[in-house]
Amino acid sequence: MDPLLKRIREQERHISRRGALRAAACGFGALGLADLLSAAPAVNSTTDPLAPKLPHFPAKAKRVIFLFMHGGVSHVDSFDPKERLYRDNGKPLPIKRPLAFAEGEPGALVKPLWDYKNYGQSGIPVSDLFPHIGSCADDLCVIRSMCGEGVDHGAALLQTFTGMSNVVRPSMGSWVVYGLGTENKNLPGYVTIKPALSHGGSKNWGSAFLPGAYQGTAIGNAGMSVQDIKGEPIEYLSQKNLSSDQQRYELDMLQSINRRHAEIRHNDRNLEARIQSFELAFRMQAQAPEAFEVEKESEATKKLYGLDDEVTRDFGWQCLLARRLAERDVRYIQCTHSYKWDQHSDILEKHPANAKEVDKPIAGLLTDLKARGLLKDTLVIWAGEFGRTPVSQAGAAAGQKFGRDHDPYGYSIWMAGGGVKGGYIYGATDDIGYFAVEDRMHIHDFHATVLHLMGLDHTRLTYNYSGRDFRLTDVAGVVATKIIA
Amino acid sequence: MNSQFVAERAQNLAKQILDNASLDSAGRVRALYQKILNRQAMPLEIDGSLSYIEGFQKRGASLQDAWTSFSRILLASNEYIYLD
Repeated sequence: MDPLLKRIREQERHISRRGALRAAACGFGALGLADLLSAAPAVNSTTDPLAPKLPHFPAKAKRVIFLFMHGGVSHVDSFDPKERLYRDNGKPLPIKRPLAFAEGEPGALVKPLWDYKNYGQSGIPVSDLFPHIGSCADDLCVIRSMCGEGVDHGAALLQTFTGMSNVVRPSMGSWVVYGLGTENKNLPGYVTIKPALSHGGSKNWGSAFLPGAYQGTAIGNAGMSVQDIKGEPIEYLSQKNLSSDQQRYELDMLQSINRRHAEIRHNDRNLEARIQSFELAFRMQAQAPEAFEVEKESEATKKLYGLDDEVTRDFGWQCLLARRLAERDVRYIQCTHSYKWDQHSDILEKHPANAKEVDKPIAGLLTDLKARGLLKDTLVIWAGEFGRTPVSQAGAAAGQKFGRDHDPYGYSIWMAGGGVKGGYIYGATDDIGYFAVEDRMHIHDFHATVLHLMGLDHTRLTYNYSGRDFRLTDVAGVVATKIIA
Repeated sequence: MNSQFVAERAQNLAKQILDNASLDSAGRVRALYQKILNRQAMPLEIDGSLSYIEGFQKRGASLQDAWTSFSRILLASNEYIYLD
């Protein structure tokens, strides 16, 4: 044994209460561990928490790109046309209104505000808000029966991303990287581009009680312009004051001090995560800048994503960066369009303006992924935190410009690629589009399904914390096997 | 570790111990351990630190830069960041 280490151990034996507790608890701890190991799926024995791991069963998707529409897109105006709303336009809500975000009486039923067209061989109806996405209809698996419990944005975002809104839980991306590790050692396994700092903020890409190595790496935030982000996509990644040689030398010294410190503390996972994070950051200094060079793409590609147009440039840059990260095997990538979609009023002006910013970039992403052969094992998810009510928000009658309230009880999302059926519609809402009634996909079911597509059994992907096992889906979650190709 | 804030704090610490004429090199290591980690440096740590300072200077850096680097290491160490 290293003489210094020996001396520190001797010292510690006298002074550390925690060390004494650990030693005393060791018998029980070892029993628990033996149990765990015999039941555990194939786990890589290396200490690198991000080393690739085998899935529970063959995966359909190797990676996820989540396109998040922060604020809540109106589903009856985009992917879920309701015959009855045309017929009963202007009539009162025929059911008792559930818990709502808006105060006061609900307004009248309002028919879909944009015309629908049937697209592709599948004939999936998509409204005129999203003509470009419509052109990809045969690749879309539209889920019209999403539901959750969050009637406000904070609760709905947290539930969408972590499964729970009342307690802090790891985000879906963290669970995925915990389960599968990542194949590119020079980039983070989990990247979130321009995430929203509101409505749960970093909890929505945090790892909570999972080791820190599994948290998302934020590229800028929703409040920053792409121009600002380009200068330093990953904050504090570059070391401007040292040569590469000096930096490596400094890092080696730091790591040897940290290793010794960790060894004395029985290689605590959080200490290990921090040690690994320095190494990842050092490798990233060499590799990441290249991944972020979106400008190096061909003019045709940039145009495909709408980088030549001011309206689509921001989200186009996010989508194109997402593709570059996907082809470099980043496991879980999120793009956020924030925080635009919350049209309690002005829906007639603002929903189309928002849609214009994302429609072409998203279609560009799907087209490009497909052309490069990446769509088949990349699961693309498009979702907001909820939909919007089929009734207008009260107040619209009082002269305010018309809008719709939050509807978490039944709304539409879609997936594409990654082993889901293309040109397919799953589930249905009631005849006015307020509640999901057929093949309901609760957020827990959605999580179970995404994990399943990644080759992970949501009931077996557990982490022991605070004396019990936890999972992304808590005690719920049913895999929607119908949507799997 | 790469932020301007940490760079400035490390520079200040290095300047403080270099300005103190009563300290020899080992004394400087002891002072930094005491200041940052609130404990005594052990003899082996002192030896390792001094050879680090020497090595850093050999990589084309000034004495001040070497001590800045060493201060930054202690500020970035897990021992400093986490309570036991």
